[in-house]
Amino acid sequence: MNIWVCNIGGGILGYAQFPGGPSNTDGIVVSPQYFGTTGYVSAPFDEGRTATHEVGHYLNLRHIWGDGRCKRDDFVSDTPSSDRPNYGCPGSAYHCRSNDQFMNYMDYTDDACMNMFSEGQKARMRAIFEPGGPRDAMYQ
Amino acid sequence: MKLYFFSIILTAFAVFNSCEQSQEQVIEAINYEASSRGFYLNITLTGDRIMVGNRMGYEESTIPEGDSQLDFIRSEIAKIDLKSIPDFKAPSHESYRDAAASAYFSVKTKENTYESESFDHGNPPIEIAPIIEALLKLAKVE
Repeated sequence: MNIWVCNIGGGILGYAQFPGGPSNTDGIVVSPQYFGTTGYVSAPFDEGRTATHEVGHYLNLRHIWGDGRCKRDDFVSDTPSSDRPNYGCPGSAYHCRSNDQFMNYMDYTDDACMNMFSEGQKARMRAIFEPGGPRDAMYQ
Repeated sequence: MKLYFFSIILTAFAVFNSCEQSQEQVIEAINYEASSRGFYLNITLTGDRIMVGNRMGYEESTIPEGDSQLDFIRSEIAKIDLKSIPDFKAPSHESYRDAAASAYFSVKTKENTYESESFDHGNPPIEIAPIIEALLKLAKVE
């Protein structure tokens, strides 16, 4: 997996390429102000979770709110529906008639408040390395 | 006589129908919101008042009557069938992988709020691209 660390700008902390894209841009890109735990970083993005989030995309995960309102899905069955990203470190968040899983790495909360992938997300990530999966060559 | 009553009924239907359409088209607010993990922008236009918000807070101001961007937005909005806003297609989805902020456009009337599907900030659906460009100019956002 390629990791490019370089200034991005425009309020973008980092981005990734989903499986199946061109090989010369395959990987993740993170701005140095949000990469790692030392150096240029500062709170609230100083615990390396931007890279974790982007690797999630690289391994085929969508944002936990499904990039839309309540009916839009992240294609993982054990993550609750939501209509928006969460920010900061909320004590709770309730949207689309359920509690948001704002501590999930695929939300937009602060680094210190992200700490998990769901079992469904793990399965979705592992699936891309299965024979015939979009990244099975990496596993061979 | 029957024709007379029929005409009255037909006229009443047309009047009430047009009243309902007029009411539907009375726009209370236009809103544009864009966000990524490190970026937030919210623009709300209510009459000649504009409120611009970012992660630091909100600022509200009055737009002078006759402002060309305001006039343009009003004339362009009038051309849109508000019910079609949710069907506008996003030209790209770079926000899905965080390469762009995610944006929404909505128009609020007394009866309803018509909201678009999400699209990339900087690449809106073609139907509303001129309006969003004017909104960003009005909000003095690059």
